[in-house]
Amino acid sequence: MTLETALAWSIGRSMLVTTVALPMSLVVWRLISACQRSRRIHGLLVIAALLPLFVPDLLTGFTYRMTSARLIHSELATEILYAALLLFRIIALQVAVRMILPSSMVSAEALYSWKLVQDGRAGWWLTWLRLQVQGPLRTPLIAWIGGALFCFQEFETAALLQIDRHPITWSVWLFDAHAAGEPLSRSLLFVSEAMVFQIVLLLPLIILLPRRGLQISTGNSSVAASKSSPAVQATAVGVLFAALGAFLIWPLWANGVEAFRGLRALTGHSNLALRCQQILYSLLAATVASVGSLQLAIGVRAIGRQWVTLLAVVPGLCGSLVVSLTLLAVFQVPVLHAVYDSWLPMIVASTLWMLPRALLLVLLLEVLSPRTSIHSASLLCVAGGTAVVHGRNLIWQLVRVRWLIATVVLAHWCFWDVAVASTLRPVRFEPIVVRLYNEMHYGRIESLAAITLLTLVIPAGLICIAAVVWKRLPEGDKL
Amino acid sequence: MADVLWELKHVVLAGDPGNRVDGVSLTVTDGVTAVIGYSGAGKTSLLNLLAGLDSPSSGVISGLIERDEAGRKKAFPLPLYWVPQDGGLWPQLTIRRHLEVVSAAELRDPADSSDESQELTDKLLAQFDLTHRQQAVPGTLSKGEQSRLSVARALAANPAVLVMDEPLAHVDSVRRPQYWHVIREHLDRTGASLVFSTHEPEVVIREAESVVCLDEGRVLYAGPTAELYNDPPDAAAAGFLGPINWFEKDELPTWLPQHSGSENAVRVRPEALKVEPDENGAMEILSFRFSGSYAETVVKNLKSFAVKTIVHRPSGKVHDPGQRIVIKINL
Repeated sequence: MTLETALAWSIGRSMLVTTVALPMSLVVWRLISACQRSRRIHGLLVIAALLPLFVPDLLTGFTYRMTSARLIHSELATEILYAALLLFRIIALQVAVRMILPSSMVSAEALYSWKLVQDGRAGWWLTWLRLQVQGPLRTPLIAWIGGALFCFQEFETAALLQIDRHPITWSVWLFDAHAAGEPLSRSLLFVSEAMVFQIVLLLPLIILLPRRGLQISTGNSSVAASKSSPAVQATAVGVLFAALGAFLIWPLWANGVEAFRGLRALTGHSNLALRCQQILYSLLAATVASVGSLQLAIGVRAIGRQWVTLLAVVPGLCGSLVVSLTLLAVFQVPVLHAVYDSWLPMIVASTLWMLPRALLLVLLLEVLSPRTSIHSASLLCVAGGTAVVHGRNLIWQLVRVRWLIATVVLAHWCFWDVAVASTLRPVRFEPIVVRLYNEMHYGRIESLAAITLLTLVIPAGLICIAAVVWKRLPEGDKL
Repeated sequence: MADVLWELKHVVLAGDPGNRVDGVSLTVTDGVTAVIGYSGAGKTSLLNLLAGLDSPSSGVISGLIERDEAGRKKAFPLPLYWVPQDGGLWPQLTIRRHLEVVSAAELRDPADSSDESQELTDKLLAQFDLTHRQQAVPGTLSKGEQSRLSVARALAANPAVLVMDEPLAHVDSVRRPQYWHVIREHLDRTGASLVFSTHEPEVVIREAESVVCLDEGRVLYAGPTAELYNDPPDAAAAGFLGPINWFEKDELPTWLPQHSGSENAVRVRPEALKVEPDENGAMEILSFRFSGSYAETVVKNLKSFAVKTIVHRPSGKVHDPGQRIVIKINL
């Protein structure tokens, strides 16, 4: 099979999946918006809707690898399985886009005002189209493009589902070709072919993205406020339950028992210490990259120049495989030879890949924790008595815990990315995800499930400890 | 002599484009001070500097914040609290919790009974008509409710100085005086100072002892409110406190011949200007427009044919175009 064939499959799939996801994400978003009165239900719905974005692709691939193996005789069934898994992720992504994008910059009144002066000339129609794109169509367009990019770049799940030839994706094709010894120059040539489609998507995305930051949707817009029919609500609930089932309940059911059995078998296992070391070092690298990307994002935001922002986000938007292969070439130039076999390339690649997401989180934090609210809390800290304690608690809730969550989310995505880790890791260090990725290709054994569980649990435990320590730190500089 | 709260020397706050605060030198003293100006004049920027949210790009602000690190007035649990323009509320806390958290500043010992705090919270909730919404979080409140909560929280904090950026801006005009009454009562009871910004001249006249007029980041006037109202230095500053009739010295023989000997321009607020029908009057009404608290009348001098718009309290007798009148000042 040629790269062109793989690209055609990937492009077709990504456009189909993101198009199907669009109305589904709308009904889910409407359901979430309609439940704003009850904070608990609203919170649960948001968690359920966004969950697929946070379940590592590798784990999803591992969970459904056996299903794919059973479907080996039907290429269509394998493709449908992969597309369905992607669909839930894209719905989650599109719901997130709808939640954080500002409401339309062109109001219904503004559109109607333009309609009143209709003269039927080409100029009128062009302006009408522009108003539509800047107004009611902007969020769906951004959601559609984001979904297409996300689908197109997916690698880990496809790699693990691919028992025979399907699902066919350019990312797996390229990764396998590179791993099989294809020269880097040819790999980069292949990358440039894939980039053409990504640039076609990226250009309108960059034009459409809002210049003035984000806002959390309050659900007060006319679309959100309009009451959905029971059938639409039932569809939304069905989508959320299916996503929960596919990304949480079934993976736990399918792997949980094996993992716990495996844990017993692992005790005293000679490789246990090595695996724990791999987990810790991988976590450290991911944390450094996530902190780095957040700091860079803060810097980019402070500079405030649009071209700087574009330069910062474009590499990351091209996906981890493109970033890692490009940096592999960069770090082979003589002047950077000294750091080629070090942690630096891996951390730099993760940082660049995470930068668009870090920027998004920084913008979100600006919205969620306004300066005035933080200052209102910090004014309490000069008081006596219990107000100081309250003031510090508020600052913890408004600032520190949110930065901690942002760091953890980014570190989580870095940690579980196979493309960067396997392409740019130092020769003498094997990140845990690379080990898992390799072993997951060779069947399901209890020890592998147990190591996977440890890979999930150890970072989570360390994060809890870090949170407690950070909360106890004395009042420092405001982030 | 009044205590100095802040002293600003050549303070600049850079913005894009232009400076948001542009070389302001100012002394803010105890009592109630209003900051008034048109949209974009720099009111919020100035208050954010005073509240410590922003730091000046250049210049020096001395006073409250640094002094209170060590020498806060003992009677007040907090040196300063504020009402920012967007409310500065905490999204995760209920209305009630907002007030409880800040009123805890009164309690020296965390083990103290919080009955007093609860009592204060209940009282403020009732005074600002928030009792029925006390378990709601800010995201579910209307703009008006958010404004009221932000003011109630600042009062609950009981600071030595309150900084309020357009307090009660989103509250309906019918209930706004009632909430201002609560603020005034708090200030009278505690002796706290207030610095607030507003667009409304009548609020400044009613509430503030001193006023700072801003335009394009610069101070046009800073001083007693009564002085700006009765004896403004120029027409631009005078306009901040509402309409005024400004008769230059050379206009006096035309419009106010009885004051033509005056050495300065005559400045008269609407309530001090009398327009009386007089069959032999030297002036004629061209048009009359009544706007509730005052009337705008365009008059023509029949000798010089000069035309001028005057603002005055209508007497109820003079309305019709073509009517002959005389203009007098109510002393």
